[in-house]
Amino acid sequence: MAGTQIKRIFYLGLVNVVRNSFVSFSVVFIMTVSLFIVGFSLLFGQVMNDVTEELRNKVDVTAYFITDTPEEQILAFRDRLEELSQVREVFYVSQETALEEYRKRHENDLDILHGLDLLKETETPNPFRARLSIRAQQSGDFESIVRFLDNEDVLSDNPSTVIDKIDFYQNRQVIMRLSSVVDTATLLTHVVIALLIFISFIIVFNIIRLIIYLSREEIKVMRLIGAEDWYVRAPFLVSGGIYGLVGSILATVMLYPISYWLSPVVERFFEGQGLFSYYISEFFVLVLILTALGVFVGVFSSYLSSHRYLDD
Amino acid sequence: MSIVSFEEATKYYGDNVAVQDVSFEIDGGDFVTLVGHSGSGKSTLFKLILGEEDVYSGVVRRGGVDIAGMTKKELLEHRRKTGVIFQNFRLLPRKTVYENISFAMEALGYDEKQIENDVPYVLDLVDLRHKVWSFSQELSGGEQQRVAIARAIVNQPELLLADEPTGNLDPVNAHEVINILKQINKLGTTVILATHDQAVVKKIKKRVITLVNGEVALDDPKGKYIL
Repeated sequence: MAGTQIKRIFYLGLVNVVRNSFVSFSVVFIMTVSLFIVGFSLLFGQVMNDVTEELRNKVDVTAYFITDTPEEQILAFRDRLEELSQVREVFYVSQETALEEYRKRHENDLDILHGLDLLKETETPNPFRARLSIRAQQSGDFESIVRFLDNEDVLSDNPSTVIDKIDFYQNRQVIMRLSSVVDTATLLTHVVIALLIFISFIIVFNIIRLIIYLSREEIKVMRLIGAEDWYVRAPFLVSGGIYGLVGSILATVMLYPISYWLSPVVERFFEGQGLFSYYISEFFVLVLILTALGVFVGVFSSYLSSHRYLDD
Repeated sequence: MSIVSFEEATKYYGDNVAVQDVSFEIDGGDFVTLVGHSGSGKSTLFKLILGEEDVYSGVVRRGGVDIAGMTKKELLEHRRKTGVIFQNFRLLPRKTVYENISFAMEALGYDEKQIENDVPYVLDLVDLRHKVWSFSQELSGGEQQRVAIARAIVNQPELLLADEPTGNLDPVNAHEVINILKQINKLGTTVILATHDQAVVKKIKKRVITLVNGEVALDDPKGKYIL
């Protein structure tokens, strides 16, 4: 019995879509455009995330330790820093690694390499200082991280000092400006995406509402016949789901050539991965998100729109 | 026991009186015609019977039960036992004749076998078997009304409400529709017909309730009326 009713509901929903072809075409068109905007925003948002992430990674505060600080002390300090909520990550670069990095950077400069070799015979064979590069969660967190470092009694004007220098003070202006740009860009991207999604779905919702408004007589007749509310409503929900499903498939298909075509432009402009590579690598996630969103919006809009004609 | 009864039922739309102090009883198996000009309250009486509207005062009962006091489930059951025919047919657009009728059975959970048996049967009753796969908008007014009648009777209702069923039809089709209603009544269904068409009233020759300005002006078992 229940199986038969469910089969009938799906059949009625499908028949509504097929026989109401012009209206169905309009809804699917709007749904496709909306989901395309969402899909494109997600891909573009991914590119923007990478760009901002890369910029963010370039912004850090570096604490340089005096040369004879024991490594255990530095690592213990790193652990304490990592516990701070404002700290995203901390990288430790030992004296040896710093020396290696320097050598590698200047591997073609024989004078420098010779100079470094000469130092080996002195009291300070490695003049490089160990350092901790600290990245903040947000740009505003740098100040508090530096304040933490200031209060730790580890700076060089203290007799028990281990930290020689913090580069934040020298680069403060640049760090703050860059961080602020990154934060603003991230926020702006998210706001624009959310706004586009919101506008798109308001349009979809209203189109579906209009369809159900046009079917109000039909709903009334069904009720007078004695059909239960769920039986009257369910075919509309099925139709809404079908609109969303078809719209999501078409949007995903449309994203293929568009992202392929725009990819080189985006790559050149942002010097990162292009849209198309994200389309390929995130294809199944994208399909899942668009389908879930499309079906949800279709079904939910139908539910809300039919509500006023059914619940009295 | 009466199948439908009105006890001093009054209904207002805003400040306007739709029906006032209406009282009558209709027994099972009767054929009753409600006569009156447009706005006399005929359709309002049907809405009160169907529970689409509530009375301002008084009581409307179906099988002794106060319709206004029915739960949603009871109201649903009441509607399932009541067939309705409208002046403007109100068929489901974009559905075939078969689907328009079968829908009424599907909604009530009948199985496919019974639907396949009953739909052709009622289509035979209204002489539309040959139009079974036509879409409703492809039919003439008379044919659409006959589909509406088939839909109304397919669930074998105890009560059939026909609201100006001949209003949009030519005399030939109107005559056919009245004959079908009489035939349905002979099979045991109570029929309440609302009309302002004197020719229709004269043809039926059964109990007539005349409504004037929302009040019962005459209730005559032999078919006399005032218009």
